[in-house]
Amino acid sequence: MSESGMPQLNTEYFASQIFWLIISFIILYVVMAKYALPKIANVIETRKDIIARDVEEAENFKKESESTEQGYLQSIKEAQEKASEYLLNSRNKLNLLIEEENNDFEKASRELIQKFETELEKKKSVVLENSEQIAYDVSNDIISRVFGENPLVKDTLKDNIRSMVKR
Amino acid sequence: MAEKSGAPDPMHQFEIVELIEFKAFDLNLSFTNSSLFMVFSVALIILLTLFTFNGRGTVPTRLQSIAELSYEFVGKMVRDNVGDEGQRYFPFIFCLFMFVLFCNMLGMIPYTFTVTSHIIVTFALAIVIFFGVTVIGFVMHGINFLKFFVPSGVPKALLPLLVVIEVISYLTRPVSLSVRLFANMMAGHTMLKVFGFFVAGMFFSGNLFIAPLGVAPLLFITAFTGLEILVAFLQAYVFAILTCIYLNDAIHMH
Repeated sequence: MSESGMPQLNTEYFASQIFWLIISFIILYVVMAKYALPKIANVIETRKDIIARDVEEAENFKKESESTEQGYLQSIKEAQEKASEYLLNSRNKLNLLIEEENNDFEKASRELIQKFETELEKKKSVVLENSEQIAYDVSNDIISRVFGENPLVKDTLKDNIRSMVKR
Repeated sequence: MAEKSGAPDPMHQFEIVELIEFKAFDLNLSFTNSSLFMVFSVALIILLTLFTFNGRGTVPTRLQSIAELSYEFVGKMVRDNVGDEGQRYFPFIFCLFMFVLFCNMLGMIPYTFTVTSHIIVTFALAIVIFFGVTVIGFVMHGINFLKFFVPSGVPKALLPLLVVIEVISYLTRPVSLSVRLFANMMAGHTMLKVFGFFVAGMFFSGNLFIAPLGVAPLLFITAFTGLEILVAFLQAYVFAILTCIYLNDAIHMH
């Protein structure tokens, strides 16, 4: 039980408290200033450096991956362009080829048709000529058999047959 | 409040008890319970800041984190309030903050002794700060430091009065600094003790109506303990930041 009510006002231990405060505080100060604080500062500094380095490294990797992606996209784009170019080229070539073939075919067929037509025409005229002769011969034969040889009849017959055949 | 002999005394917790007797130069320098907790605080701070650092891993351990956070907390406090010239005094401010904080916090554990609840301890710290800051002021500015007490831009007639007021306010700094910390710690601990007595007294009163009501002071004391832990931190912070502000006054003169 204290007599004063407030032990804080009891001067008996003031000297002791100040004495031990000085001792403990000086020990604390020396240890902190000499060892602990430089060490903490060093640790924090080192960590900051490590983190900064790691961040930088990550940044570099990111850039690298971005450029790789860019290159990848670029090459895909180039490949696509090349492919469409090839496609277009070959289509053109094919079209050209088809057209050429077509033309050749048309030309050949036209020539063939021409040839056949002239041949036909020739054959037709030959046939006509022959048929005129045949008709004349047959009619002449019939007439001569019926009416006997008669040069006058022969001439008119010839004219008649010719006009008939022509028609 | 004493109704019978041996009644609980809330001030009993502040009593100094001699542990190891030691006398020198006619002074009683005995190692007391107060000394024990000072040494204990210092030992804990040294343990925390020196022996929690195992290796230099990028990821700190928990205790290491506490040490680093304290370091950066005080470092920021000094930088913000004093600036680059204050870096020289950073170790002192750090020790001051940690010492007061640990003394306050250890005092929150039941049956411990609160070093900072004694005016002589806080006053000793404050007077050292006061003289230190004043010496720094005179060393940095010479006799010009006296201009610190002359406010600028006031009528000449008022000047003598204002200088007196400034000097008084300057001289009362150690008193306000030490009394603030001491009174906060003492008042809080006394309050806790008084309400602790209420709880015990009501629970063991033998009265069926009063005993359950003891829950009320128990709830209060629970919440108040949380508040006291906040105050323990806050007062250490205030003590350190006021030291920074005084230091800044001495270095930059407003």
